[in-house]
Amino acid sequence: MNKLDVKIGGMHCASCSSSIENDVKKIPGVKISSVNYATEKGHFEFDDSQAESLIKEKIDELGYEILDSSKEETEEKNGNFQKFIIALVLSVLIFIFAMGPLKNLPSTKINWIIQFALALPVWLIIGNHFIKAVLVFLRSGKSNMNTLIGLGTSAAFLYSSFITFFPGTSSELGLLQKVYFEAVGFIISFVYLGQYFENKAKKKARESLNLLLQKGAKKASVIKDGEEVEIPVEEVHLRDIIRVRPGGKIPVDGIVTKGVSSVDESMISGESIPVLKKESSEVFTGTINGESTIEFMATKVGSDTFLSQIIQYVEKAQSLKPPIQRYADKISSYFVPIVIAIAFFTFLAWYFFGEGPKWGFSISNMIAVLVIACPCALGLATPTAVVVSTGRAAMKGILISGGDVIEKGDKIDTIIFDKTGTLTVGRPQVEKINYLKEVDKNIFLKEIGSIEHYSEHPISKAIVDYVRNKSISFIDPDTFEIISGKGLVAQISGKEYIVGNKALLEENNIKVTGKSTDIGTEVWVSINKELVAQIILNDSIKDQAPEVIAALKKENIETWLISGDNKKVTEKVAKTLSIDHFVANALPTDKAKYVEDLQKKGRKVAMLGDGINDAPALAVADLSMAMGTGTDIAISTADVTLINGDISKALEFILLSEGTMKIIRQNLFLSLIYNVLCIPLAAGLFYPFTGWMFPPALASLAMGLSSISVVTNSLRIRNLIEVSRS
Amino acid sequence: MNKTISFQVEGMNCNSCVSKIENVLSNLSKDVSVNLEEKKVTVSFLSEEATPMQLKKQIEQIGFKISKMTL
Repeated sequence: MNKLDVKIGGMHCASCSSSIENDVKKIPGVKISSVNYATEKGHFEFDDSQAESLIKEKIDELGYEILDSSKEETEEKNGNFQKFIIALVLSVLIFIFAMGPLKNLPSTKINWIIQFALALPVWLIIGNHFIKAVLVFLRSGKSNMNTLIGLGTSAAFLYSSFITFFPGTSSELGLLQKVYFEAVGFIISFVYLGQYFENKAKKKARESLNLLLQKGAKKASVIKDGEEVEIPVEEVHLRDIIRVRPGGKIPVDGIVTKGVSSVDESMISGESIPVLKKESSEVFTGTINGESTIEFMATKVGSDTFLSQIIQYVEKAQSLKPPIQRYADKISSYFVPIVIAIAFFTFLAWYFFGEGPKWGFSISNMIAVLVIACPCALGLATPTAVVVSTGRAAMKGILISGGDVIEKGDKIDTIIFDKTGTLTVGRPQVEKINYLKEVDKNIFLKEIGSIEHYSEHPISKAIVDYVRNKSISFIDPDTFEIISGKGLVAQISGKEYIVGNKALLEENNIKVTGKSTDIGTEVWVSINKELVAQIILNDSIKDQAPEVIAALKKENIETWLISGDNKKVTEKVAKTLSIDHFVANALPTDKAKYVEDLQKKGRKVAMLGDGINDAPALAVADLSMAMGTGTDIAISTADVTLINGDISKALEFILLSEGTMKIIRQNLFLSLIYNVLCIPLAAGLFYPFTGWMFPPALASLAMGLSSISVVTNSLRIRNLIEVSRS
Repeated sequence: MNKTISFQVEGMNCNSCVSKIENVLSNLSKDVSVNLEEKKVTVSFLSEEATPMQLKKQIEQIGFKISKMTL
């Protein structure tokens, strides 16, 4: 099986990407064809070696281009804004000549030639890809919003140019002597403004993807002939021995050969408590070494490491994800054939049944239909709403990576939560202390707090916080020793404390017995070799969580909890919050499988997580939301980032997107209604009764009215969250 | 009151580490001795001028970890 991954340029909408997908799929030998509009990447798999060149030809034939992926992508975005400004300036100039102070000056003919000269670059150069869209339509019958724009502007421009340069012939034919140059200019300007807004929103999505690749360590300390040499991580070979200092990042995957240390694997497992690594334990790229130096042998390097595999999974999932078809294109796909049919019918009706000059009236009215039906506000309907909505969201601490994300939020019916760091605070807290012997509690807390004070371990910090909250002050222990991954041994006030897990106490010949009915992390404490207390720690549930889960249920959204933690702890959290379903002991890729299974059942799934372990699931979910306090990889995989990890913002986002979609639907209606209402007039329907013919200024008026209505309507989104709160 | 404390310092592997640690402790104590082989740092200090916690924090601040401490 051969693979081809390419960057495709020239796609302006989701229906572009799906038409490439469908056409490439028809090439013999092609097995998988997937094109992502947002990342502009195409992923193809085929078993026929000739297919590669056929795929490239096909993409070219459809009017798109294969880009060198190393090329800078920013050009297009800045370009769009420049094009908008140029088109707008030219259009305003045309307007001044057509309807403004210079109307009919110096003479009608010269005035029209000036308008022509101003409109030509707008139509031919700036509006070039709309013309291309018409050519694609003529060749393949595929239409989208660009087709409609291209059809209207080209008809208007060509007709007006003919009138301008062949006044004699056109009068003889009976063509109405009127020009639409300013309509051409404004339509193209407005569409570019819409595309500029859209690109602005899309840009962030692409930038964040690049962050994924910068997560691992850059250098590795390799032991060669007894000497330590620092080399770039790409040059590490299998079986090299690598040394990592306390606090250092593990540069590649491997197996420990020397040393004992606890390693913070939270970026992979999501769990905040470090894992003990000793000889022959596995270590993973990107995890962070704890208190002591370890050496390990590289077993996986480069793209084989666990971290790289997660990244690859994410990239693949993103490029395979079906893009959401944009509403404007969906509407265009119906609207284009209808408009063409009406235009054609207008022509026929005037030709066979009309009064006046046969050719003249039939062509003039057909053109008028095409021009008036070209809805410039259609291109503004979605982007303006999206820009207002993302701006509103950002003020509320919700960062949205692209416009289509809002459409996704509207459709969600299932939401999956990660546990640690998402529904819970993400660090352990002392839940209770079971005393197994009579002790003076104040002295006990003072002493244990003083000991734990000297350790940086998350469990120690939790115990210190607990003691501190009781306003107990600390003293200095006489000796203090960290036993990696197990606990602490210390002398204080003439007593020997051993604090840690069961294994540590048993090593010191202390029998550990006691009830284990409490759920959570257990820490045992002995004083002078006598078991004294059991401390239970748990990661506590965030304050907003119960309210958010309850509200989601009210919205009829099904809730799931999927965690890498054990069953007891996961079940406890799920029950406390009355979450509908829960899954424990899930690996990162398991989480993604659950998302896919639910999607196969037809559900629209949102995933909410905070760590690298959630990245694969975030990538396949219909809507992904990351905690703003989590790892970069989770944030860059996600559609939505919730600042400060406040999960009530997830609810706000869903409500905001529902409201925004409603506004977008209204916008689409508003952007078309004026044009649709003018179509009968443009077709000359009233001429036989009233003698009314379509004045070109009406096209501009319809355009202006619909654009203003759309923008005003979009601004209403500003009030949405306030309303949804009450 | 004059006190002596010793730390087991992880990650202290070379002479430049030693001078970094001596340097950072010099504000709090006049008497610092380091055994590189045993990774042991011994500090004499006046309890009016420094606390064990301050000394520990100073060493950890520049990237080392302390696994054992004896006062």
